[in-house]
Amino acid sequence: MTRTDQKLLLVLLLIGLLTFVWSKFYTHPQVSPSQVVIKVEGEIVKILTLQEDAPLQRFTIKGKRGQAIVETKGQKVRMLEAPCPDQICVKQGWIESSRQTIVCVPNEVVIYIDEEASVDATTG
Amino acid sequence: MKKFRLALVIISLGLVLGIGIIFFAQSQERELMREEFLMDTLVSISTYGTDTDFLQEATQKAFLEIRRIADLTNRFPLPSITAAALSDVIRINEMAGIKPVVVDEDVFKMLQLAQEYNRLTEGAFDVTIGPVMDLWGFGREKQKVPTASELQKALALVDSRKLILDQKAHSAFLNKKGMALDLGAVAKGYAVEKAAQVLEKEGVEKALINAGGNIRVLGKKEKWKPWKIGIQDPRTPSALMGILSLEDEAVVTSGDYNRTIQIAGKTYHHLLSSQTGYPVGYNISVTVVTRDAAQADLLSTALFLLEPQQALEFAAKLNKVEVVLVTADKKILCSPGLRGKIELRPGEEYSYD
Repeated sequence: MTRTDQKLLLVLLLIGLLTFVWSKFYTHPQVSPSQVVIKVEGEIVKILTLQEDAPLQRFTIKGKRGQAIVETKGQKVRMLEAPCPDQICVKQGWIESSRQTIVCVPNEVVIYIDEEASVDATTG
Repeated sequence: MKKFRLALVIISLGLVLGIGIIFFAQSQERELMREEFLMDTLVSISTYGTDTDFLQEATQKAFLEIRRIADLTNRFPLPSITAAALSDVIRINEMAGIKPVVVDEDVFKMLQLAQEYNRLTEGAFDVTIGPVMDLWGFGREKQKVPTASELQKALALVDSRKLILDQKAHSAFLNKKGMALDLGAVAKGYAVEKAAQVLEKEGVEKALINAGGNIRVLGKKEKWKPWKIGIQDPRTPSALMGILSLEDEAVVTSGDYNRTIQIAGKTYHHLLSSQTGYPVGYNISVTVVTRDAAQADLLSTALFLLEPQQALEFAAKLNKVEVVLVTADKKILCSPGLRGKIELRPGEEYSYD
């Protein structure tokens, strides 16, 4: 090994080390675009990736009150069944944009689509 | 020896760089988002800053404040004695026609605010609408369309002038038996505003509080960028009707599509007339922008109950109150102060100037 080789090796090692340090600080676990996020009592319990031509799929979610069934089809998602008295979440039907959220207050379940949002929040 | 010196230089260079990166990373702004189910809705608080522990603590205190207001104003508590004992509203309603109840300072302030707007709207906005809400079954298990005579009876109990507030004793009294308060039009906004004050007092400079569309922002999104708040299209929930640019402001929307009940295939919303007892149909939605979330919340309901022109004239008389209103015939009206702060892009079914 010549001296230049050694220098090169050291520099490479240094770059490796720096990249490692960098990645430790900068890669938080992130939700990538067009995924469905399901939260129960404020915690993420499931993340689903939605393909445009995906067939109908069903999932059971254990909420605070009991079991709920979530259905996805293509890039849409809905609450199919929920153990809440008002059934607001079920009646809401399909959602397909990041501006929409399905919230089941009694069961403490939140379903939303995560994608680059054009606004910080929505009133309505 | 030369090799050793070179290694030393490189290692110290690496150390300096590494430490630099650590400092840089720590001075980077981060977002802390927390959600809780409170006041019959999902409440989320996003705070921004470099110190996550600090943000966490401030957020916790803000949630504590919202929970306190929620407990004080709850009308339908869970079947536990402690919850009922915590609610001033339940106590006031139980003591209607019997005796005044000493209430929390914040409840007193909410009632004062409600009474002020009752006067200003000449009775259109009324927090003693409780008996009529109960008749329809809002917030209860069973719903029905009340009969004319039932409505008449309940409407006779709706009168904010019979809500006696005693500043000295800090007490509230509904002076007729059967009267009932419903703070649904004030409490959420008030709680959001109190939470914003807590965050501010703790030293948080940038935050967004969202209690199911009751929104309050602190500061700006970025140095040259205000917060962007979408207004939902009232008839197409997946679309936005417009985008507001806000800083240090609150925005609340009241719409005929929120909190509805279905009876025999017909939909009824919860914004009831204190005159007829029926849902008011002048407007589809009213969005109010002000500095104060409590005022925004109350006004969104109060203006919804007025005819569009009357609502705009009323808002114009108030200081720093801006309105976006969708009338029953799908006309979008904006108060002049919103020029430059709103970008409208409604669907084809709407018209606007």
